[in-house]
Amino acid sequence: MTRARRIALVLATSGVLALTGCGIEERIVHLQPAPTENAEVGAPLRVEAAERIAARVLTQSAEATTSEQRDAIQAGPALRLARAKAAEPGATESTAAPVVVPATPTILAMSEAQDWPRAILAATLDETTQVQSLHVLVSTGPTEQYVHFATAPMLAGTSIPSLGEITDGATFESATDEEPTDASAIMEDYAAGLAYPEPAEVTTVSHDDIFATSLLQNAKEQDDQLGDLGDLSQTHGVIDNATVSFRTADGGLVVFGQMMRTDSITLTDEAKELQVEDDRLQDLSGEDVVTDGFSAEYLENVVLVVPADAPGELIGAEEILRRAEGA
Amino acid sequence: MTTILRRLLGVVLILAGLSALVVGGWFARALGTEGAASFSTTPSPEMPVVIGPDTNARTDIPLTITASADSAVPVTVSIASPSDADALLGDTRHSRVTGVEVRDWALTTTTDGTEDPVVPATADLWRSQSTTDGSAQVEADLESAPETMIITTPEGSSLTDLTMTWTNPAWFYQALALVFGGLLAVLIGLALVVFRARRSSEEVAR
Repeated sequence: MTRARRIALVLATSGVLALTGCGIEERIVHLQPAPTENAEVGAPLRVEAAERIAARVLTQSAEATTSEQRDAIQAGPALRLARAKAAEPGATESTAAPVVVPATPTILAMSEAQDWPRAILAATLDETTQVQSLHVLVSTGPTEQYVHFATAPMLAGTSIPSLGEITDGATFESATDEEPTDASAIMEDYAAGLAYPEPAEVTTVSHDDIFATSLLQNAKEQDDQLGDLGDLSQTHGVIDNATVSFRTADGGLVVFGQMMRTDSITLTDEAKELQVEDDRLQDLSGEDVVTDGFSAEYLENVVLVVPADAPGELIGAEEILRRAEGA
Repeated sequence: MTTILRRLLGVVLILAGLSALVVGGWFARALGTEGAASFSTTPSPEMPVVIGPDTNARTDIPLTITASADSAVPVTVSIASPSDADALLGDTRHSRVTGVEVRDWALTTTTDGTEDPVVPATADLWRSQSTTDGSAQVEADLESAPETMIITTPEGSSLTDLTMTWTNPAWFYQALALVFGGLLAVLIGLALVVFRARRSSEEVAR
């Protein structure tokens, strides 16, 4: 065999072997193992998807005018508040909730990991009043769409701390009647510090905000006006399963909670009667004069920011009269 | 003895070369100059088609998925994380793409679940979702992998075709290389067999 023929033979043999050899399929197709999912980290949705969901849910929530529509798109504190608004004197099924379609919401955070319940924290700006509102949307399962869970307008001059990269997700916790969370204790402390006439001394949360100071000041003025004719007490009861929280980037909390404020006026023997001057209280209670006492309930939505190493502060609040009765 | 071995090697080269020639030619014809490998199936009627990461993210070669139905039927492609898609599908009836059959250029599928099919429009776990009439096309995005795609049509309608196309222009040239390699092997094999045979005959005659 000549040298040239030997070389040709080797080339041809190696070429055939290379073409039919092991692993060639993988090399040509670039076959690789299927990527695995880490369901413990990251937000479950893309930001664009969260924006679409928030816009849809908040629009439907704002446009809900019947109890069926509200039940379908709202839950928890938002539904409780909407029902209270619908029950306000003068409100009818069709006029209870003013239709204010929010501007495109800004997504501030999403709950992390793939577990349920999942939550979206969104903000909207009312172009007319320039008031920014915070909203929590919650989904309780894979077949359940997000619903409007909580809302509160932000107080002037307040801001919300960074919750980290949206795509990383933020730890979201939801309290139940049986299982309170860290945020539940903050809510209890804030509520206790609002009590009148004996507010509790608490260190975990500040009561220097305009909402707390107004409440305490108004209660004191009302009590002073009653003088010896009666006594006013004001309590704020936290609704346990309404408290939810997002963990901030610095380890603190953004807490959404709902409280039931109860004002009770007990008339003394020196008082013959008490005139109910507020029209809404008159309508709700059906009384314009009472002789024994009077009570009223208000729903209060609040948002607190609790830094990791400092007392919490109120950044959002909303209050609505829910019930009144007198005797 | 050496002559017999050379002839044997020549025959082996001819056979291997012919195989390469046929296979390479078949691939070159099927892939076309674009190098597009298309695998199709007719999905089971009235149930979602599910394409998971074990099918849509096994290679970094660009993948286009095309789902077709009758012209007026809206086709929805919903994309979610695999765990979300599995949680939503649960035990509902669906057809899952499991791989490809190269010989028939076909997608292999299995049918799972016993409960009524899900309606993806009523869930909020999609990374993206789009609906178009008649057919829908989606590009697999390896950067977002792993993802599961669920393709649906409204109740009472079905997909008529599902095609997954991986495109790599190099494949066409690789198929051509196989053809030429096979041709070369055949020629060398023939040379080994025919030339040595003729030379042996001459030596015997002398």
